[in-house]
Amino acid sequence: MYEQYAHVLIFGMIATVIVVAPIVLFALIRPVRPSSEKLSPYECGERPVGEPWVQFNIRYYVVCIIFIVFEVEVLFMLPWAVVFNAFRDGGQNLQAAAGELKNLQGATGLIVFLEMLIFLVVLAVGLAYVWAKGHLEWIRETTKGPELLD
Amino acid sequence: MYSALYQLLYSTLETLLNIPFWLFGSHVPHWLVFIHVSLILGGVCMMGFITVLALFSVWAERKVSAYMQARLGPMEVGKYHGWLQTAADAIKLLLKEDIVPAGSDKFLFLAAPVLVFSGSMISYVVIPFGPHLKIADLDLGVFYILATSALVVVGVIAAGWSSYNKWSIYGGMRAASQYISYEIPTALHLLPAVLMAGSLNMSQIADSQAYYLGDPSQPFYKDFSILNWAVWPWINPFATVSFILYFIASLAETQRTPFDLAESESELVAGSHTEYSGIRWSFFFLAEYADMFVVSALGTVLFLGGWHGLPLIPPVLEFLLKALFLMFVMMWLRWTLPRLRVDQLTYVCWKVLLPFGFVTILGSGLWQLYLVRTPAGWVAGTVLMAVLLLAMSRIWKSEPVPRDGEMTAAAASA
Repeated sequence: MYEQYAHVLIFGMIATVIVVAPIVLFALIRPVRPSSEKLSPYECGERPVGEPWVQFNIRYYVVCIIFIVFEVEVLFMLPWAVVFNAFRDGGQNLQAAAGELKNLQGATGLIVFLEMLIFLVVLAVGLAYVWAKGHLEWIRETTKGPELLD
Repeated sequence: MYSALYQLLYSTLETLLNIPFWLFGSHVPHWLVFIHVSLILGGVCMMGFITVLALFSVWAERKVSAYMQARLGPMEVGKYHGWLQTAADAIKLLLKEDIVPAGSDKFLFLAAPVLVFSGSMISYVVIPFGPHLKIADLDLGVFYILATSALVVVGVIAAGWSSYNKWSIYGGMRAASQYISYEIPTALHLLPAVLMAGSLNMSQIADSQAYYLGDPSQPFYKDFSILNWAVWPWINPFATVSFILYFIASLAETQRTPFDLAESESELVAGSHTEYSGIRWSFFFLAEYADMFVVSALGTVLFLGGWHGLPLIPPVLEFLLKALFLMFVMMWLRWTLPRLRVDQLTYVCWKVLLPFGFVTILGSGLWQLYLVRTPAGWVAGTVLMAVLLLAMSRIWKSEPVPRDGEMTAAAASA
């Protein structure tokens, strides 16, 4: 089974080589005539104003954190989805499944389903909290004026 | 007729695979067989396929757009409807000057297109084009594709950051927000299909939707399983909904309209690849089309039965037909839907696709427990989907509710 990952690795190397090769090879016949105008950053034909690497509000900092939570959640759901069928008939088919799963033979499909239901309800509460807090809005209320802070 | 073709193809592949045995007799080094198989099958065939596919889908996109706007599109190069246009474009781009703007982060700037294109290429490793036609048979196939699709994001952000350009950095940041939003619904809406198949292995998922009429042990059997695909409501109506929502989320994953905010021409010039020229620019372009095929192929395998279903068509051709049809739908949508606003983008992902993902997973779990492939399930699924479609058509037909300060069409004409 793990030898399959050797194929992935080799394919990845070939993919990189095939992408890099035309860049390197055609550099021999490509024209190279740089000028200061040509190398200046593109700003719709105007001379660039200021630094492009400035601080700006990326607006989705909290969304990033929520993303990590839900991404990990999906990670937990994948194995559940894979073994779910095995529990359908009260664990009769688990003989074919991996060793550790045999300990769970008493579990029926409904119990396995309810477990995922509880897991999802917890997550849904989290989503509802974030939603109610307004972190999923792109346009939020701007910071309160100084008179409100007093 | 087809079986003769298969035998020809099969014996060609067999001959190629036997070359190391001829060279070394029976004492073939193990590593050599590995590298040999991967090189010949994987490397050369697949790379050729991806390049040709990407080039011709660029041409197809231009032709589809042209016909939808009552134009002709490219007509000159190659005589027949300009079919060699993109090949000519590729040669032009290879010979164009490769500009690295002053002040840019050189290493990242040069590495980003490689990361983007080879990142989308290595997703092809697990795609099964036919019963035995795949490079690596990973048990984690679906998960692998979800993981490698994240590599493209790294490339796009690197391109945006390193270009030393305001448009690029905004485009890169937008792409980042879009990717991290839409990766979750994509994965969530794939889960019902994984749950029904009970596997993450792409070939096993496709096989789980097969329904054999005849002897499946024959090398190139044909099955008639078109009614057994995971997408049909009589199998599982929640999977039907999931397929549609997966398709929407994958549009956002591949930065296609209506989710092409990261490279919206009217706002950000070209997004993260504004500063790229020549061959490096073309890699960003080709990667977009390569990605479109990956998500289409994933949808085909998980929901449309992979290479199973249609009688009398060879499996590989059938798989390509389905995947290319999904790509055509993507091109079609480009000229049908307007671009979303950036706040609507996050709204659709977090407040529509994600809650629906929870519902479809739980729903398809229950369906799988009690109703899947039972007579009651066939009837209930069909009726449920019919009711849903009717309700949706009622909603579409109804007059939109005017917002504050907005006039309805009737009021405006009065």
